[in-house]
Amino acid sequence: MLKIEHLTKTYDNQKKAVDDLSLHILPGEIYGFIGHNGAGKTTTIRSVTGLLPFDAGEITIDGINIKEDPIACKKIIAYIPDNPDLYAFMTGVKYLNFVADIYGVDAGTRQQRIREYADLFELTDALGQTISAYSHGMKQKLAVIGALIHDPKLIIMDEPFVGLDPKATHLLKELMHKKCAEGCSFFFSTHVLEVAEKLCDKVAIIKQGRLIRSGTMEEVKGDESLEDVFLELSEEGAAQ
Amino acid sequence: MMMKALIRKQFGEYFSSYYVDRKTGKPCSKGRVTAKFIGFAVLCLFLCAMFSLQALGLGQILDPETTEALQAAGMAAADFDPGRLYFTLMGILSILMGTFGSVFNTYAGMYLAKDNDILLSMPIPPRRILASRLIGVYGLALLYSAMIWLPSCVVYCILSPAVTPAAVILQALLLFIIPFFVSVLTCVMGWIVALVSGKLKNKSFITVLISLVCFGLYYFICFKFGDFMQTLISNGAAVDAGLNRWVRFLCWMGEGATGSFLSFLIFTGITAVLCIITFLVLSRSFFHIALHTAPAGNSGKAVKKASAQISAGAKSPRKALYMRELQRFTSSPTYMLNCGLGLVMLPVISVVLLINANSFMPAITMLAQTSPLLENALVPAVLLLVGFMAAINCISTPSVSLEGKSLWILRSLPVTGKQVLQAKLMLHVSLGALPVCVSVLLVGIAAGCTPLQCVLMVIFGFLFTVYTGLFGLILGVQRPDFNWTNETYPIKQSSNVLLALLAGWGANLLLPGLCWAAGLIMDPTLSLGLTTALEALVCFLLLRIMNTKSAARFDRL
Repeated sequence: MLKIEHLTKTYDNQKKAVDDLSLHILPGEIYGFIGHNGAGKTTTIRSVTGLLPFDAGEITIDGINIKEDPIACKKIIAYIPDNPDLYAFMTGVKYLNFVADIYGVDAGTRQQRIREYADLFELTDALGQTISAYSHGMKQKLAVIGALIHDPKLIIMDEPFVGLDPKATHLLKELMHKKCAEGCSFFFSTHVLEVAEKLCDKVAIIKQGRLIRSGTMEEVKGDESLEDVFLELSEEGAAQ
Repeated sequence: MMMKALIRKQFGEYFSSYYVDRKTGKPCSKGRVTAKFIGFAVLCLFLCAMFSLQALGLGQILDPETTEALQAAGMAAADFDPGRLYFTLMGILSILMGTFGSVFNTYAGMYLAKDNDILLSMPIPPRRILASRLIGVYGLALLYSAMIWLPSCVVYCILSPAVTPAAVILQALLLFIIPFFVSVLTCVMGWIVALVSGKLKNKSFITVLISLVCFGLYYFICFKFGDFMQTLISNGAAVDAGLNRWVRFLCWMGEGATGSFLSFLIFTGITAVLCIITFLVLSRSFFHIALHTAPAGNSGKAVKKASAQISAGAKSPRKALYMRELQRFTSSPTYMLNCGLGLVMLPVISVVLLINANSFMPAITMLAQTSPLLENALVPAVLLLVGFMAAINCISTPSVSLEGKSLWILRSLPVTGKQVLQAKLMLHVSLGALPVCVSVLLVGIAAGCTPLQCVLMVIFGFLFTVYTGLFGLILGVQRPDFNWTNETYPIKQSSNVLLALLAGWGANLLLPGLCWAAGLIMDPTLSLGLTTALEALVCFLLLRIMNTKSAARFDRL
């Protein structure tokens, strides 16, 4: 579903934010992406979603190259940023209708999906309010509903659980499993290692722009906890 | 220490655009900073010069012969003071200018600033946050009111035979005291707007409506200024007596400006008391209003409306993008008032001109016959008049910067930069073209143009709207600014808007000028047709640039 080959991105200050990173995500997989602040997670995610041009490497989504046909790629993915700044001047329902219009979701399907997901996240009553009145968590929920409205094949999320209440976090995790069973893939970054450990099929650890370990959860952590492995790898890097 | 930091932050925000390139975040070169300040000073001087004309008109009353004539006719008492009347009236104009000029800035800057939350979360007393914001309000009030007060003082010193050093000193002091009074008015009005907007449903439209009524009144006064002057000169004493009776407080300001120290002290004292009361009242409610101006109201109606909208029909991506732009425009009174004022002003002025055509057309026809150069100047004059107003509509210019932190949405959706820019252009044209075309048609009819000329002028007006939309949009993509904390910045204070306005006026001088020049050597209708064709060519080229270079640049933002 998602193939990242030798991705390299350098910013103006000549610092390599991502250095020769390669990842493969299969259909129906939940892939966690962990690393320290500034390790290169958001840069990778923004490159995958076509928001950030990169210097070298190749990214293909469902066989389509993001550089060659970004629109075709965007049609099959959805992106939820870490801090969803949505249109404050729109109401929740207008925002969802706008996203559905852009993806060409027909009236019946969108009606059914908006009702289903808004009810699930208990946002139905707030859909008539303008987004400027939403809390961070409500915006996050709205962004999640907006991402699901066109039934994407790949959902890319940057710190999706930040700002969500425990119930919404649980619902999102359940939903991720349900969508995976339908063939949808998830690629998301997180600092909550316990969630990553329980939720993900595969995980990748990034440090200073380089991939230091990746694979299935068992391959990466073995008998230890993900937190222990992550801390060990971090210390190894620091000692070097 | 804390206050100093707050003031430094406030002024840093105001002047950041002068010292820092907001695109790269790097400091501007000294030359660029100087050029920006010179440009700003030139604009202020231009406005001062415009208001000097009003001051000169009213200054006729300062002529001793006028006073003597009024006294001889028994229409003025022996103690009639034309200087007081002059300064009271110019002071009122200055206060009106200051108030209307800064009330929405006060509202947006004080109650809608994006850093209200973060500042209120810090251990800063709300009063200090308010005080730092009020310094900005005062600065803006000073800027606007000085544009009338300063020329008034200069004109007074030239025309009045009774100028004393004390008068000049007090006038200079009033320059800084009047803005305090203006600040009181703008704060009270801004506070009312903030309170009302927390409760209103269609608050944007109601705010715009109220503002338009205020603007209408202001322009009506300006429009009628000539008649008013005549009435004033012949009834100066009666007006003076009326003002003395009803707005004695403002007459003290007028008297102070002519050198009366006691009146100056009374006016200053009352202003100081008003300032203190306003500050105390605002500081009590600032915390509440600043945190509650965001529309809430999870009412039953909102839920029902949301349910209805869930079942709304699907739209094409093109229409969805257009509707998004329209929603943004109609949701912001600041955006509507600053970038769409011409949409309302144009038809109003045109209808007024059409109704009064009989009163001014004979004079214009006579004027046209005085020189062969003016013989065919009617059509270019109509285009010039309407174009001047049409250029004020700069809806497309700030639209790219207004994406702000939400730009990620468009960038992650399967839409191209070209589609987004086309939607922005479509909004500009769909809202702007009709008023321009109707206005040009009405003014054309009023001016007695032929049907063919009217048709060509309507096409010209339409293309002019397309031109202003395209130019503003290309400029917006070329020089975007997404790092604003208050939407007033991209809408009102950004150099893009000023540049787009100047480019609109520049084209408005150039194209009718060409039409007029060509009309000297060929048939005026043919010259109009050729100018329209030239305008179409310019629009085509700009459209190409927008669809290719600007669209590609937008995709990389």
